[in-house]
Amino acid sequence: MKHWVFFAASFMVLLSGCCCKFTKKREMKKRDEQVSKDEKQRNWSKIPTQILELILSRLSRADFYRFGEVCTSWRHVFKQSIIYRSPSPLPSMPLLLLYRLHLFNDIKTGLFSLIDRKMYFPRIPFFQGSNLHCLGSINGWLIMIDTNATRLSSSSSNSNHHRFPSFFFWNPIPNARVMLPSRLNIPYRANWYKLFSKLKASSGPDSPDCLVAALFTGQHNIAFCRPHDESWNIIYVENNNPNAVFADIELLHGKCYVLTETLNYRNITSILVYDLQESYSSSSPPKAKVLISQLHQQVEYNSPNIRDLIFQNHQLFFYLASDSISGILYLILIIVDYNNVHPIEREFIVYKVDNFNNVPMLVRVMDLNGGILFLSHRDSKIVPSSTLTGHEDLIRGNNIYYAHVYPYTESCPLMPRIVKFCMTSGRINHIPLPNPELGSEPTCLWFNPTIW
Amino acid sequence: MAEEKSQASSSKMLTLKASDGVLFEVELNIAKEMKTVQAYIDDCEDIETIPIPNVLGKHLAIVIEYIKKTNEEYDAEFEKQWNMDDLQLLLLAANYLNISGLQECLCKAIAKRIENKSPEYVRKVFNIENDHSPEEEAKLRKEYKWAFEGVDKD
Repeated sequence: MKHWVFFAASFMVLLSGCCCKFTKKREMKKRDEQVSKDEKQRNWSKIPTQILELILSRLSRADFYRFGEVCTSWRHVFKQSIIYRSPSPLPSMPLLLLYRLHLFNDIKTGLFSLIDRKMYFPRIPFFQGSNLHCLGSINGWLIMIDTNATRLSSSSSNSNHHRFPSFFFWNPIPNARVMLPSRLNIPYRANWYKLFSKLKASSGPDSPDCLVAALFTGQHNIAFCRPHDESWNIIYVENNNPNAVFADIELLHGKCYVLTETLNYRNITSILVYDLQESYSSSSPPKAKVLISQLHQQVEYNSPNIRDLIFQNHQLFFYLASDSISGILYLILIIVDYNNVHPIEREFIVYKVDNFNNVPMLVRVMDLNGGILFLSHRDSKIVPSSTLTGHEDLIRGNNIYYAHVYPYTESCPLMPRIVKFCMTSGRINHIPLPNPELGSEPTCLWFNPTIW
Repeated sequence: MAEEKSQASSSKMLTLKASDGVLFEVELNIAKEMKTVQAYIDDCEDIETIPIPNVLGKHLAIVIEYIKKTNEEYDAEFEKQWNMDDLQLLLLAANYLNISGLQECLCKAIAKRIENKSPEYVRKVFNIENDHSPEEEAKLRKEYKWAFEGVDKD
């Protein structure tokens, strides 16, 4: 009996103990749940819009897009900023636009990113059809020519249709176009897209001061216009001097600067300046003023080693570039070695136009005032490094990124090359491109897409 | 409790009362950095204790210290000390109290954590659920695929 009582008692104790434990456990679990609820990591999807906008304004273009993919509330803020065009992302590195790539016989446009060194292909190709060509870019706009646009020639005595191209600014993101005049007042040509060797704009077409200047291939003249003009204005060289071939142009603060060179040996001779803005306000054609003459004397061109190089199968390339913020005009000389399988850039020499005793002169410089120059045959743009966000190496100022497609030779297929020249160290680094097959006459230029 | 230390208004002290009842004595010029508090003072001149119902004492302390010590060096190290939850609460506090310097500093820090990261990684770090429908997500991805450059490995 005693045993039973003992047993029962201990059983009861055990049971009550269990119960106690059980309820205690339940209580603790409840408390735990409460505690863990409080301690559960906070959710960032319900942050006030104002804060999300502040964060957006500190993101680069690519991060800006990825932000919209995180969740629906973040996407809403992202979409609103696109609609209201505010806040905008931080300025980004331009991409290299390569067009006329032939991948499996498909005309595509590729965008090469310096950030991850990958090639991206927009889902809807920027260019469809062989009638569209890209001649230049400014900010988020591409300057395009459509060679298929047909216009009747104004003189009805000709029964033939003359095909005249249309020129326009195009922003592929919102698919917006701003037309440029199509009347060129020049004779018909077979290859319109080869008409201009350079086409530069001072700003996007949304700016009231937008000026466009173009350099005719092989001829000694330039054309200029504004988006709402009736026709292009053509400047014919005053004395058709074979020693003053127009080699490059650059727009800066309403003026068009022209680099001239001799036909043979491509010695640069002078920098001319046409005041386009003044020409518009006075309604008279602009007259050329010589900014600097006898350039070849001012450039280290005549120094023995460079002269020797020319005879050793090297070539010189000259480009004009400008920094619209500081108002500085630059001349860049690139020495390219053609002795190997493919051309190799050996040296970059940079000059700026400076006033010395009120006389403009070329002065060699070792920096771009903290800017980064993106240079190609088609365009040149200087971006202040302080506005960019990203890896330190990438956005460091006083660097030149030069992209060029060298003319075809037997040993060297058409391939764009990108090199990075550091002005402070003098080092030139080749940036390899993923190797697509290129179609006929590929073009590369730097393009900085906007998000709206 | 609030005490007036001296007659000069620059060392006039103000009391801020956090949501959990913790009291903070701050100088007037420190409190003025919080534009919300400034507006409160402008409305009622003689106030000595200002309630801050949205901010815990823990975070109010951090905010006050930020205002006292802020400079380039301090700001650069500031955000590294806090976990994601505290960062959010500090950001909400800075937003409520309308302290532009602190908001900038924290938003910059958040942007740095988002920089070059995939949306999946961002969701993980920020504890966000993906509430896009699969169609929406695929659409967004396809639309801007070419813009998805430079993503770091998670």
